[in-house]
Amino acid sequence: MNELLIIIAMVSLLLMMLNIRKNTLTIPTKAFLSTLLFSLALICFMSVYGILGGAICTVVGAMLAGLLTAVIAGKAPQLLG
Amino acid sequence: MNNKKTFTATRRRHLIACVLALITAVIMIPGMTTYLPFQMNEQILLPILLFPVIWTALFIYAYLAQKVWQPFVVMIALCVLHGLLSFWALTQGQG
Amino acid sequence: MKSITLKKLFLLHSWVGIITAVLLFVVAFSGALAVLSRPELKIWANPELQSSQHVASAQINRLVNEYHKQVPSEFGENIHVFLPSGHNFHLLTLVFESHDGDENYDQEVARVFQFHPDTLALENTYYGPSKEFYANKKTDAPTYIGEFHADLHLGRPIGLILTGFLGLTLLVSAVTGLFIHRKLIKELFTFRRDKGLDIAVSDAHKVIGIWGSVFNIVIGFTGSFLGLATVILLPAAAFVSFGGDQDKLIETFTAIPEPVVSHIKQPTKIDTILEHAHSRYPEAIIRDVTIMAHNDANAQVYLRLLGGEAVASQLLHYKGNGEFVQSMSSFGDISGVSIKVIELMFPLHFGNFAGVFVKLLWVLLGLSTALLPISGMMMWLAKRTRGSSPSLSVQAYARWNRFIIGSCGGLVLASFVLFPLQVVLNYTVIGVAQNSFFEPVFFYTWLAWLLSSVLPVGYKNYFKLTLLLCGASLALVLPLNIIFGVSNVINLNSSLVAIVDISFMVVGIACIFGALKIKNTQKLQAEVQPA
Repeated sequence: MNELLIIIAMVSLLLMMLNIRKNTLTIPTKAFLSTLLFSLALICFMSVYGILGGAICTVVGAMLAGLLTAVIAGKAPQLLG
Repeated sequence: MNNKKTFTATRRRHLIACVLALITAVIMIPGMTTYLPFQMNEQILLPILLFPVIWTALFIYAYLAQKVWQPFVVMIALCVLHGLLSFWALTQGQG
Repeated sequence: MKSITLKKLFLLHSWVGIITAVLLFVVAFSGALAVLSRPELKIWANPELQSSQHVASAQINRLVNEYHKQVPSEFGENIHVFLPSGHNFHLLTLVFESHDGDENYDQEVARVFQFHPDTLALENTYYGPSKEFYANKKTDAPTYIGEFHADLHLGRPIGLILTGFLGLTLLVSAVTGLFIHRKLIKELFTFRRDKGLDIAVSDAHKVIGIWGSVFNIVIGFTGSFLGLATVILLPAAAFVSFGGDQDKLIETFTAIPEPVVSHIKQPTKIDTILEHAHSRYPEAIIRDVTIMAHNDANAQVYLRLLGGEAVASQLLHYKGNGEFVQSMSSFGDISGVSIKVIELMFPLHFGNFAGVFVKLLWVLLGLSTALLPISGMMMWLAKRTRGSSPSLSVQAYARWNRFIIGSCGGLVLASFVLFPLQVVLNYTVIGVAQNSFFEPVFFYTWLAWLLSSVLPVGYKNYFKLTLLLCGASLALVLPLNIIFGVSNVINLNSSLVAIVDISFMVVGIACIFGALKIKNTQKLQAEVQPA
């Protein structure tokens, strides 16, 4: 169960980064989706590691997710016009 | 990049940043224990925790200040002030 | 922000980065490896730990009682039980200490009994000064790398001061780097692999710098604290209140009070206490147990725990009859906010508070921290070869590149070579005798590779060879363990050993594959791309 929660949390963080990267969404939409996904990751990590440990893991996981997204996917293609 | 245009008195800034900033930050630790309005363990532990922040701020300030005398004066003033506070506390038998 | 201020910050960032680049890489890379050193790699490195790291509480109680009867009474004042968890010794270790010495010694003296964690057979005994025992305990490859990260094996305090200062310079680099990167949000995901090496390196530096900034600031802050605390900070803080006596300060705050021996016999229920701690904190690991006034009515027992929900390590206090008293910071019963922050320094720096997944996060981010100074150096060098009148000649550029590969690549090679060496040593050399091998192999490998950088070879070929040798060193571990090891991927005596061996093989193959992808260059001049 713990492993599943960790996977869900990391996938949420990666999706959050892909969402932030996306050019086709408006800022309010990005903010809403990012908050949702970050909260999901936070809940999952806190269920596994407790409140403080979960918060630390979420922030660190988000850093790594952002880094991986940047290195693997790069910048989203710019929209024409 | 032309260093001469960016920084004035580069060597003096290096000395202030690398030597004086460290001395100031270290002298500030016992000095701060004399005036922080907390219980004893906080008075001792809080300056220790603040050391990296103080040193980093002084180090960067040594280079960013417009005139080289500014960080020099500030650090000397901090050293003297905290040194005197430590001296008075020691002579009064505080702690 | 004014452009002159940005220029100053940029120059400051460059100077600090260039001066500390190689050393920062050394400390960051060894730190990334050290995250996994305890307990995972320590268990891998010690066959005694591989079958089990758990000893039944009843057995621990029995051994303490049995061997307490064999030592003179003054050695029962303080009994330390180091559990074979992979954090301390590689054997279950019972240390009976007399603080005031005995008829042979005027200093703190210990009688030590060490047992195999699985069979509980007595493997080793020691009688002599406590300091010598702790100073000469058996080390292994991962522990050696961990200690190298802490003080570069330069001894204390010099080594600690150096690594502490590197933490401070990392703070400066991280803070100035954030200010000078004006398009922080816009270039959050900018990484252009296909635009040439210079652009890719520049983008990598910025992307790693942005995403790793919080991590780097935390590592720099906690690293400087851990390095400088005992050598500068504590003595300075103790200057006014304790006349500069750091030991007195530590004693005032952290001393565990000595119990008054009642001379009324009452069995100390070590097994009950251990079981209670396990059930109260099931996720935590008990590292060691301290028993004071053993088998007396006033006996006190302290357990040091690591991990679990508490994040920071904690000290559990029990009475000898098994009654739980309190849980406190591992530094002692100190109140306030500052101690809570200081407690967090260790888990935040080491990443050891919540299992392997969190450690992997720390390892990956630690490796990214190590790549920052390298990419920064490459950017600095590339800039100086550009333009109509570059400040760096073709030969100088090639020499710099070889120096970076020799120094930084040499460290990677020296670290990786220790792992197959560990497997061979486990087969050929017993116990503490292994200690004398790690230092010469590590430092001579590094030195040899650094010296080889003066040879006039193309730096791309040199880098390729470095990568090949690193990959080969790691890839050797699995086959060597199959031939020589007690546990390996064939017999699966230990799943951890199998996973570690396979991981080494995967990383080794990745290095070799990466090396083979680098195109050979014929001429030295052809390697420097014109502006």
